[in-house]
Amino acid sequence: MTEPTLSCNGLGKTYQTAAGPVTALDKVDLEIRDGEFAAIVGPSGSGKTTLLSLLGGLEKPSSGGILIQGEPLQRRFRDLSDYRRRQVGFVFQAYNLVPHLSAIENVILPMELAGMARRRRRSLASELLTSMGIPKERFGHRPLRLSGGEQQRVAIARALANRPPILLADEPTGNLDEATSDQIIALLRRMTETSGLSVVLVTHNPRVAGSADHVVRLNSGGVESDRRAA
Amino acid sequence: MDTVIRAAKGALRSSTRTLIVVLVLAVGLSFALTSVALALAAEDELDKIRKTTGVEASITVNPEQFQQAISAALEEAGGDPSQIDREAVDSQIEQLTEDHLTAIENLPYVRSASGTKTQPVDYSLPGQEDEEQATDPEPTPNPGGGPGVVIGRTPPDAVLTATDDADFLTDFAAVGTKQLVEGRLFDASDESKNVVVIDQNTATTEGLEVGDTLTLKSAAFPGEEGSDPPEVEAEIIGIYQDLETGSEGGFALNISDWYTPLSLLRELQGDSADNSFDAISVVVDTSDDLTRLESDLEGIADPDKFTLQTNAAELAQISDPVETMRNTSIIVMIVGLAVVGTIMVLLMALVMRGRLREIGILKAIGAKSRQIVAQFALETAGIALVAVLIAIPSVLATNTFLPDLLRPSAEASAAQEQGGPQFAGPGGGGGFRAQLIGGPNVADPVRTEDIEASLNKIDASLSPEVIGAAAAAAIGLGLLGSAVMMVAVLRLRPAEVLRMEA
Repeated sequence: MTEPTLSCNGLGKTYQTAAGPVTALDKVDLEIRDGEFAAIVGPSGSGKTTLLSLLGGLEKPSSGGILIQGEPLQRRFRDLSDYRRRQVGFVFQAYNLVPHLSAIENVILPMELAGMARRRRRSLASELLTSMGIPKERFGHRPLRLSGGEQQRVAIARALANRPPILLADEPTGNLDEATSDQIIALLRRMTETSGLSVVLVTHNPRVAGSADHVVRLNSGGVESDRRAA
Repeated sequence: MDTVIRAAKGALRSSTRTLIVVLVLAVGLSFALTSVALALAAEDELDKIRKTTGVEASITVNPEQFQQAISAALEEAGGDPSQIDREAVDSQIEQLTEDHLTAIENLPYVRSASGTKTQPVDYSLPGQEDEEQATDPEPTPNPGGGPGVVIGRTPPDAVLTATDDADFLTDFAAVGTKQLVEGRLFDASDESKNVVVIDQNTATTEGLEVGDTLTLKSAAFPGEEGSDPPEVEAEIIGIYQDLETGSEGGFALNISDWYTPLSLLRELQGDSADNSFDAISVVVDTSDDLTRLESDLEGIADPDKFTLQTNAAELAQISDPVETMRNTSIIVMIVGLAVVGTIMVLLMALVMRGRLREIGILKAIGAKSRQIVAQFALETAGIALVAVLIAIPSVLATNTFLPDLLRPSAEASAAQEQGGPQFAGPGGGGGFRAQLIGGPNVADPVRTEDIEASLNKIDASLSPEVIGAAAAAAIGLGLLGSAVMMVAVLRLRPAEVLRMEA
């Protein structure tokens, strides 16, 4: 049996606050397989976003560990920025595009940071944006001139710029209408089927969760249920 | 290259804001640069002043020596001045000699030194007999250290001041009290020649011109009793006008001041020539060397018997306002840079608040902290550099405004110096007591226009040093801005800022 693309054992996160330590996540075990479309659901404050931040290397866990194809994250990537650049792509509810860069420049940015050649990164960015359904004439537009759906598509293209095997999305359809939301989910779904990309998304939307291969329900920082579609 | 382009895009993301930042910085930097230029120019001027002003000193016989010797001789003579034993007086006075001069010349920081000697003389014109004196009593030594004036006889026609180096005749300096109207002063080529520079009053009265000759004879301290002092024929090489007393030279009793090489004076002294000096004038490398000179003189001559006179007051008069201007410029520079630095830090802090999300995004997509810091450092340095490029022509365009504002009033400085307490000279404790009495080589208080001239030399011209300072300021400000960035980048938790609504 092949190792899961991404997994965690006993993962925990405790924040030190003025009022004392607050445990956001406690002893979470999870496995994400190659090409899997996984949804993390749960009520507000259940630790969904914290889990995603830990899986994406945006924060360091207080306990437990993350494994990449069975290998501890820290051993494989001494610098977490390397992990974030090569292994995972991030999509946020608020899109988080750089406002003074155009759509295509936002997509090029991670390639630039990875040191990819100038000509190659521009053609790759064009390909990605086209595959996300962004018309060519919109490539030069700044984020504020794009619709919410277009911004999220550009954000997904940026997340996939360095061809990471894992895409982490925090409520990617939270700011979108239902039709656009469906389009985005369909797009992500297609990516898992065509390129073997593993997608882990946090959602409150039952329709989105219903379309996932794997649903993990969190409650009070722990895993309440973990089920895969038959 | 990518980082540079990203930095440029970041700087231009809001052209209006960037323009305001650049202009604020440019104004602050203009003040700072002008102040740097002024401070450097003032320092340069101070250096020149230290090398040219207050570098002169004069060593003379302490008048107390004469007073003590005369008092002792008078007591010996039963209180009758006519019975004073002149030889006894002379033997008690320690004179300045060639040995002293040589020792002083050998001091490493002494640029030049020369002995001066004065001698009263009578003169006669060619074909004219010298008028016989009515009486010829013994001369009374001058308690001031100068040549004796014979009581009860006709005063001498002139007092010769002799030296080997006419450069030491400060009366003829640019700010001196005497000005040549015809001919020249003697120089090294006149050594051993019998030449003399006379006053315009005598020249007019006697119808003398440069090239004429006259016969000189010592009027005091004659040689051996019964023998006439030698007569020396001298050629007039220069005629001067006394600027203080109109056309008249000399002092009370209308005795003229004339100037000759030392060799002529020794010849006039004949057998009584003792190779002594009334004063030794010294020029040191910088005014700072005066303290060393004072200390070294203690090993050369008895501090109780000789007096060191300096131009320290003149130095203070000229250098104090320049120092004031330099110090004010440095304060303005520090304040300017502090204001610019504070503005920079505040602006960067403000910019940070608006760009935390951008930093979070960069971190989330895998940018290393150094890549982010480099981008923002280049952005800040670029803004600072543009501000410097604007500030430099601004300084050139307005380089009279700030200097005029910071330049102290020469009149006020002169008044303050002259009215204030007199400078006690270097040292002041034991040993040589530097005095400010107007000796033969110690200049009078500095004129207001001289102070003004020094102050006017200080301008805000942009030298390579100032351009270098500007570049350093730009780099410094860039680093300062980067430091703010560095702290923000290192402390930022991307998960926190990216979770927020845009």
